[in-house]
Amino acid sequence: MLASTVAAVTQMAGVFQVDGITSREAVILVLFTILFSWISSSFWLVCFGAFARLTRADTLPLKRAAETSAARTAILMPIYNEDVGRVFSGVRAIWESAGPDFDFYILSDSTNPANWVAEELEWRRLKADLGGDAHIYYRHRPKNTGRKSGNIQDFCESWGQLYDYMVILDADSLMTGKTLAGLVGLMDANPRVALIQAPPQLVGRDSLFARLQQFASSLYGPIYAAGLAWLQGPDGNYWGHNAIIRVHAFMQHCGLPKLPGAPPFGGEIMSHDFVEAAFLRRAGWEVWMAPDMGGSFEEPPPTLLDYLIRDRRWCQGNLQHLRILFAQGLTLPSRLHLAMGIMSYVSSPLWLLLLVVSGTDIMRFTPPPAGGPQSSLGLDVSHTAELFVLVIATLLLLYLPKLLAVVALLDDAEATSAHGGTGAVLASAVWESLFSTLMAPIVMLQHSWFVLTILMGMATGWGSQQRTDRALPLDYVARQFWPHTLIGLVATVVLRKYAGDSFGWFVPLLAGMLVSVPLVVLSSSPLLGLVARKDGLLLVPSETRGLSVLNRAHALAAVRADNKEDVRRLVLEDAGVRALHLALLAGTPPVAADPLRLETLLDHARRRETAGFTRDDWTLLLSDAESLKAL
Amino acid sequence: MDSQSRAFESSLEPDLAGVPLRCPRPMLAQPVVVWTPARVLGALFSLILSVPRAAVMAPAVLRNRRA
Repeated sequence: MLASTVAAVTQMAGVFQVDGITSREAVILVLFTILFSWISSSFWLVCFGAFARLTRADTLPLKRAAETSAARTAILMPIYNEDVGRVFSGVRAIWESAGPDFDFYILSDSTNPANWVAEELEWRRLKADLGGDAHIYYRHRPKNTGRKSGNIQDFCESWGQLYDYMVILDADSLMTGKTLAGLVGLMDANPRVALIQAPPQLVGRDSLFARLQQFASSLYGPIYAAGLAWLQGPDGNYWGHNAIIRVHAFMQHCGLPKLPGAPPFGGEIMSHDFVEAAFLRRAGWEVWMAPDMGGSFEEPPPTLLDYLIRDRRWCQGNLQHLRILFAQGLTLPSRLHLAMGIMSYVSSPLWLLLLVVSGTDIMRFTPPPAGGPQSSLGLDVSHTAELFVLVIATLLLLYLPKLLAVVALLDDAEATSAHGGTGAVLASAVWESLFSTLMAPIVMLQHSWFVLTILMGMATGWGSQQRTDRALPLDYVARQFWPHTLIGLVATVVLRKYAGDSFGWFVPLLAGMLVSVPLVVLSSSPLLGLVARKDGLLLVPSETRGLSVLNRAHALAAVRADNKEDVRRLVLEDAGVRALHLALLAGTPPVAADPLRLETLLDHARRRETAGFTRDDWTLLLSDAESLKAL
Repeated sequence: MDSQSRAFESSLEPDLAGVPLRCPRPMLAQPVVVWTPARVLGALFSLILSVPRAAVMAPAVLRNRRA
């Protein structure tokens, strides 16, 4: 990576030496150095991954367990105002695949009282359906202190001592019993390992955008993960879910501190996973990735808009790592993981800056006399051929990994067949590349805005995600993406007028911005996604071969989808539901509320006049055991 | 492990107990000595100072060894 960056930067410096390097060219050179090293790191990572795949290298050199495990493992699903039916369908599907050897904890931080009560009812139904063998627990926290990491810390502090390992899931995670047992076996056989990340494959959604993500994940994910696993060895990272963790190591070393100062850079650590992995490595524990394990899944955001909403939170969390990057005692690979997480967002404004500076440099250029040095890029350069080599090299770094992934996939006949055959793989890869090229400038602009607002000190919350398919309406998307279109229009007019022959180089970038609104609308369509599937495009193994745990979760969720009953009222009206709620409320500290307000709410509740209750009213009433007992 | 931990299962209301009995043990916040910008600059400065000195001293050390 270093060698390729040095070679490219030397080449670039040579290109600029017509009459010495100007200050503008110096800026271009610095930005180019940073960005070329960034894309070349991804490129070499994929090259190593492709090599590991093609040579069938062992990317997880750990001892395999031979015997059945006697360890106790808890499977944790932290949730926060999620679709209740989906969550419990997923839990049930995983339980049916894994069997009764695992204890399941649904750790609710839901602040919406309707979700809270619905979760309790679904939990009771699940317990009744699965019978006495099923150890499925439910816990609700009145306040989501520390967000997801606080939720898991609360589990560890309350029940962590009962377990050897815990598997952390996300609300849309699915894992097979075979994979869970395999992870437990690996932990048993390798006592120095504190965490094994099973990289999740994206599955289960139908929108065109989601199917593009699923195909990209299935095509490029394996070689990227193989490259990462091969290079990092025991210095791995944690992605926040679909990972098994040794509980006592986690409890000893992963208590997260509050960073000094206010959000977005101070306060609670938002992207906790990278930091927890870094702390485990700092303490000498091993952190591995298991790229070939399989059986680990999650669902992608259904639309580009939802993808960007999620990215806003991740961006803030990753930028906060700037405070931790230089913290004492961390290992160099941990710092690299943190730096790569930061760069995945900071690279966008840097690309944008490079484009703006290059664009203005092109526009101020006056063509030299005939026969003098000139490039079709319009830059004031001395070595046109070298500039072309650089441009081609950059394009290769961006697109060759995709080609390598296709080659690695086609090398495996079984995998090729599972993706619809050679023709389908090639056609889908072309479509995916086209869409990702068009989406790249939209994402670049949006990430640049995120970074700017975060640097200006604007923090965001950490809300629940939109996880179900939804076709976005045109007017709504237009309201969100008009700035992208406007920037694209202005840039097109200016570059068309002043950039001369160089305009052509900007067309792919401008095209993405100009079509941002229709692109987001069309790609959000589940109908188009299904049409593509019918035409054999963007197929992934879960679609062609089926995936029992996913099919089961979807079938169970479909039954629950139409239930729109206001379950909060059931606590007041149904003695059985109230008894359940009170039982689950036992042990939680009493609420500190105005007694008069509580009395008024209780009075209304007795008379079943709850239509005017606000969300806070419901939360207060449902949190107060004494009031509910008095009903 | 199994028999020991199952002792924490609540026996009072088996159908309605959401969780096993708690056996609390706190997780302590781990120290993070965050480098301030001044500290990063200081480290860079000392690195810049130390590298030439090491480069200058290296031949002297080698000469001494030969002697």
